[in-house]
Amino acid sequence: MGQTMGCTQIHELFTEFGDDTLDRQTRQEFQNHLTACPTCSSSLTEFQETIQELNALEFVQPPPDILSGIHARLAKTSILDRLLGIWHDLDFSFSIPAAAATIAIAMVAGFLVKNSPLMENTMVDRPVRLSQSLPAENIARSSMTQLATTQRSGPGGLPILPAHRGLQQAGYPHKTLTPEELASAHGASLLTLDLIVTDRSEHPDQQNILFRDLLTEGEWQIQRLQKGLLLVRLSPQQLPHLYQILARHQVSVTPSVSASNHLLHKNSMLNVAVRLK
Amino acid sequence: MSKTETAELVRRARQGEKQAFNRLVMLYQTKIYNLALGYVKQEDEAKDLTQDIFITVYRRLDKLREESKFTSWLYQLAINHCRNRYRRLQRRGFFSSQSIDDPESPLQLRTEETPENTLERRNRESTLRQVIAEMPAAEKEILLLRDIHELPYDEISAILKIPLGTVKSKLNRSRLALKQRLKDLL
Repeated sequence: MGQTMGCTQIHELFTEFGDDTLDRQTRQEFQNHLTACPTCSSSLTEFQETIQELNALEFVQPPPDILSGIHARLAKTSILDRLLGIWHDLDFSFSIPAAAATIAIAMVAGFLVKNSPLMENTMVDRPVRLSQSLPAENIARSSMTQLATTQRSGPGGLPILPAHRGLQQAGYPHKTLTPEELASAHGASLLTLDLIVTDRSEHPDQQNILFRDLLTEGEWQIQRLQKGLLLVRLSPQQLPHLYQILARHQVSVTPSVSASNHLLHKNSMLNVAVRLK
Repeated sequence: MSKTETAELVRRARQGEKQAFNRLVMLYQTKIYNLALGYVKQEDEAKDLTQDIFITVYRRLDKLREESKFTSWLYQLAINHCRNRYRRLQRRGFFSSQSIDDPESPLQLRTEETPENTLERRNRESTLRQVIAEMPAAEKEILLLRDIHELPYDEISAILKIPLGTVKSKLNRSRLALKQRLKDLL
């Protein structure tokens, strides 16, 4: 560096000058420039004052309950969190050709499974259709249709059918079957749904909390059928507890409590589908 | 606390000793909370973010290779969390009401009961905090780490994963930018 060192170059050296890491010659040139240039000299003073002010800034005291909050949240560590942790830890950095090949294999596998005669035996003739139904049932319609189309992913390959009232609605293009008839027609492997819970919250965090509450608070069985769709199997005695949890969230329940009092008298396990948006 | 003592705490926390983990939280929570506050500008969000960071620390502590490098590792993890949260909040328009003049901002000076002689200093401090909070993330990070958290250059280099020379040049540019912003404002 010679005498041609300009103001911009001088500014670039402010930090190194402050750290005293400039070599002797550069430092001399730097100081010579400052002597001759009041603008840079003044700028350096402002620069140093700014750093002093930054250094003097005191930390804002954090709220006192950070540690207790951490432990409260850790205590709620759920299976979902663990799954998410595994998901985050997975390395998806494979190449584009590998990704394309994986998708292609998955599509072929999906096609083969779909057309397998074995799977056809467990299919319901048509998806459930609920037309001109009550508002609550409207809410459930998408859930039920989706459930009816996800039979292959039911527990142990069991098909899932919406239960009772849903199947008895008007508007079926074919003969309406009772659940019992359907059960006998398709064997004992049919799984009927007693309740359909649809999450109505807008916020994804709220849905995660519902998901987590269901996973952590009850001792019922939970299976994840597909993304955003859970199957909860519980005894009738556990139903009040489930409602307590649901009461804390924005959900629609079909059938309603009043309409499904008979459920409380059932001896067998109840099947509850929980659909998250 | 020395690096050796911190490393010992980390070792014990990794073995599942709850008290050691608690001690680590108590040791670093002020720094991490202030780092978070520099990004999200809102006390509740900063608290939530701080808790998220320590929960991640708890879960990933076994992945830390060298216990002596806990501080760098913690800051690295914290910076990543802060960046992600900042981006998420920005997408949701969270900062639209958090302007420098927003009276609800936690960074805003609370002048009640402040003696007049300290008012000016407080005012200047408050402005400084706000200006830092409004700076682009890349400029802000390096200022926070070096000039407020007073971390050494090599540690900043490890945390931000940039060469040492780049740390120094970026720091100089960020300081100049801050100086100019303050000058324009006052």
